[in-house]
Amino acid sequence: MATRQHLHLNIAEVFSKTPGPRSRAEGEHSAEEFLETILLRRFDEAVACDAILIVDLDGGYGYGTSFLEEAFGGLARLRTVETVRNHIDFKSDEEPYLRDDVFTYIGEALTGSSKRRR
Amino acid sequence: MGAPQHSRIHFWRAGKVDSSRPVPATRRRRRRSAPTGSPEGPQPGDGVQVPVAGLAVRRLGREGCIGACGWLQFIIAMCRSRDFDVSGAGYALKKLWVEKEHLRWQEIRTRGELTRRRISQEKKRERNREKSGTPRLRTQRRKDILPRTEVEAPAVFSLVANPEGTISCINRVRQAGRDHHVQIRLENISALGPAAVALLLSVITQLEMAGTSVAGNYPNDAILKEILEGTGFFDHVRRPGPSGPTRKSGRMYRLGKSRQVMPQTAKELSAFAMKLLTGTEQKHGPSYALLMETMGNTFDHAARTSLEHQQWWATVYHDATRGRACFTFIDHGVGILHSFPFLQRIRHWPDVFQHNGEKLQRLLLGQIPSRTREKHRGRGLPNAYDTWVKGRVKNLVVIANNAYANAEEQAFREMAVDFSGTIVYWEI
Repeated sequence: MATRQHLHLNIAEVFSKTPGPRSRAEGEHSAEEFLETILLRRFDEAVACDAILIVDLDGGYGYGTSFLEEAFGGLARLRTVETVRNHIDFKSDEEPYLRDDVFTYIGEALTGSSKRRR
Repeated sequence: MGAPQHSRIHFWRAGKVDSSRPVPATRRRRRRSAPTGSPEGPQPGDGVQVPVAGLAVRRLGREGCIGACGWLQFIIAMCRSRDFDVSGAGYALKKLWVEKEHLRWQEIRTRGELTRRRISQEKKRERNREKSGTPRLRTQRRKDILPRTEVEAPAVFSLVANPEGTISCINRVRQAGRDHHVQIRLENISALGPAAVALLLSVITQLEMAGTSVAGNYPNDAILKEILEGTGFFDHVRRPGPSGPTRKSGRMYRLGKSRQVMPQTAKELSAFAMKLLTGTEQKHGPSYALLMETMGNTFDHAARTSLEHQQWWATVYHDATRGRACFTFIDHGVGILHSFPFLQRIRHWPDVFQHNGEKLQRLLLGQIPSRTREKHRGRGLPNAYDTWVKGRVKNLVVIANNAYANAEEQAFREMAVDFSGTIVYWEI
């Protein structure tokens, strides 16, 4: 089985060490801003070359639930849950539980009225 | 003569007598029914006297217009004429008052007046609504001459151990501060919690307390005095005389002007706590996440209207004796249980919950789904509880309106006192 190429994205390095709230209106360094300016572009690159985007969550001061949900759940809502699961992975040595949390957010991104909207 | 001068509605005052025009020597009374052009009727260029009781209208230089059309038409025509003189116009007014045209005009005018009055009253109510709670000039003046009132703090001044007594005391301070200067007596307290100090500070620095002098004394107990000094309380209030060296065990932040979520504040508080606990400045992800969530919830839901945003306080205190860092987040908004999203959620389960404590418990456990059934919404408080369950934070306490939840003691109850806002307290 061929090993797939890995692309790396460290949020603390490319975006902010202090990730903020869900939306731009709520404050600076928001998940909405991160998704639109960085994550979406890097994810599409990974999908285009059939690679896995490794998102490194270390280096920052922490992540609010809203930030992680809006960034990665929002990505699943813009693309599809399956595509995101196939092309993204997470790394966090400082807070290992974050990886499972984010995959939960991706899995539950399309529920309720979000699902109907699609 | 120039162009005809049209009168306005005050026709009995409008127009002018052309003094240059010669007045006919003979002023005869003419019958109303006299036709124009007849020998007895008004002749072009003649003056006209109208034979009405108490009314003498002299019209100069115009054709007569006394006809069967009625007095109103006649008077209007007179008003539109170039030169006329009206004296004793009372009858004409009286006549006008019963004319159909005038009644209609009067009705429209009355309607307009009623509409204007209603709009004016609505505007006045709106102004009063905006001003309510903010001290006016008169109130401020009165505060100078009003007496000082004393509020005694409960023996256990702690939101964790004695939430009802502490909130009752804080409510008393808030209520008395509207028209009294307040003296808070802390000398007899036997226990002091950092969350209670944060709550006290958040209340006495509120806008509605502007102009009110709030003072207080120190606890007699030296340890409690040290706690009060260490919380950072005196970074925000004045104290008489020079202060002795105090160990900085705490920090208190008030939100900035933008009232937005402030990641920098969350970072500083969590890093400060970790520095006091471990000696090195490092991150504490769960506390950072909790601060971000509570700030976001306050920004989104705490304000009474969608246009304003509620202020908040975030504090941390290092309790050296227990080796714990205590975080407190306070907002004086509507409170979770009265917030619009929560009310929308529980609308479909009106009689399920026995009391507000149970509502808060279900909310923490994530058992009240969002109204849109979207699982990714409303994760803030369930995640806070989950963080406590997984042992990343300790002693989680949430107070919202009159509901109290203590995760450590598994106590979820409705309090006898009401707190307008939300308090989230945890330790690491």
